[in-house]
Amino acid sequence: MTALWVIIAIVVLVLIVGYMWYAGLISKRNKAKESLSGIDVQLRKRFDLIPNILKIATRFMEHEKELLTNITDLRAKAMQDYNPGDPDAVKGHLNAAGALQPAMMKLFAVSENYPDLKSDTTMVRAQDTYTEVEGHIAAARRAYNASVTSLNNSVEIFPGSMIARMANVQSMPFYEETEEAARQPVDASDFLN
Amino acid sequence: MSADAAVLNIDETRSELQGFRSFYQKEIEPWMSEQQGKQANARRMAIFVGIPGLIGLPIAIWISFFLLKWETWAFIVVALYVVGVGALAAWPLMKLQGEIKAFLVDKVCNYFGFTFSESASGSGFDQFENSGLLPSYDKRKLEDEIKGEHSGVPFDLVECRLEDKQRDSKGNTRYVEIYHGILFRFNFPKDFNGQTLVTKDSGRIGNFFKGMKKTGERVKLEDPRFEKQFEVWGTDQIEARYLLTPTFMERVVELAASMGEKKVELCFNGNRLLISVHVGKDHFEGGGIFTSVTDRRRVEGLVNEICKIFDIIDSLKLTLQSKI
Repeated sequence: MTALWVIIAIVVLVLIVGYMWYAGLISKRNKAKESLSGIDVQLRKRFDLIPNILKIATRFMEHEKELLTNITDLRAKAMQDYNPGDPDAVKGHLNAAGALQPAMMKLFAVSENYPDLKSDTTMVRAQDTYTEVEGHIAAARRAYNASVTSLNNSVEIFPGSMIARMANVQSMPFYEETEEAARQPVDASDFLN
Repeated sequence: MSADAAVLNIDETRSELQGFRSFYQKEIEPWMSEQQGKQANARRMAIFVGIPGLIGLPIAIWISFFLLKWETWAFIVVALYVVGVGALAAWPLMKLQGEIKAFLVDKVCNYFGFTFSESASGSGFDQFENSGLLPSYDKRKLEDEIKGEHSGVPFDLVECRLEDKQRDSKGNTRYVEIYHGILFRFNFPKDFNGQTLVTKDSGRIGNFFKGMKKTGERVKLEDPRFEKQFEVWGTDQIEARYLLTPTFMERVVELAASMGEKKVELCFNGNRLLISVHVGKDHFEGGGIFTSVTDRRRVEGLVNEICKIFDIIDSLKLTLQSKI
């Protein structure tokens, strides 16, 4: 009889610990999703700002049509809907958002060649706002990566890995600063004539 | 060579202190020399009252305890005698020290373009109280308020003491000092809406209990040196990281190293950066009651204390308008 009670106690204990682990995993996944939506809020500010910057730039940078078109395409790609519950879709979305940043940096670097654009007050203000938005995006990225680290540790380390498999909780991708291609150094001679 | 005769020992390589020596020689030194006579008179008065008072003490004890046998009252009479004689002897010295402090701190602050008020108004103290930087207390004393601007960064500071009411085993009430520090408020170049609190690390258990009283949730940051020394609580995870960038965290660690570990805590609240520096001793006094009035260390100490303001602004680079 005592053995039966011991077995029941162990089973109950395992169920309680298992449930707590499960609850912890779900709460970490929700936290990561919340952080992801935090990134999207900040990215939205960037997306809203880009058309204004491009509008001003188009007036002065007639010879940089390719760059301006590239930015428009990258923005459209980054703004596409995605499923936040699908890690691959999240990765694709974050990569698209990351690719936009170096393109914008290139635009600002090239704008140095256009003194009229450089001194245009609306452009200066837009650039300041953009820099501030980038600061918020960087902060959101760090918050998201912290949540993802916590989630991934729970999902990948035993026995969390077992419970995660049963509960269908998956690791989420980190938001790297830029895409591989964007990490290429900028050749300053392109812009210094 | 005595300290009186030595050259004013300040770091004139600092841009803020260039020209301070000549200001000192012109504006402060002559006044200090004039006070020498007053200090000599005050000291004579202390001796004139103190020595007969000391001689009279055994007589007072003998009369109270043995001649009149007042028993319980004898203690009170002797205590009143000691306090009365002590106050009478020290009064002129204390009065002079008050005048010296008021003159020196005011002059030194004026040199830097700051305003000084010995009795603090306490405006802005609520912000510190609500921030979670200070412990709960029963009695507070605010003094030595300085307001000004350095490199375009407006600031104010106040010296603060907090006391807690405690009862001993006999049921007697006494006040115990639980905080003594300088509270700084600076304008911060970034806009923010919530609150981010950076307190010293108190170990796992200490942090757990501290966390129960704090506003917001724990913010875990990437810098291992910063994480080892501090605990961060914020109402907004993203905003906390917007304010505490990797570079800013490094600056906070460096500032803490220069001011003394476990002494610096900070809070971003109401678009201001609030900093608490535990000091444990009086600041902005301009020397002690027994220090020679012409002793240059009075001014050197004051200048060093004011340089802490510049150190904070420079170390944290509060002048930068960087948004990242």
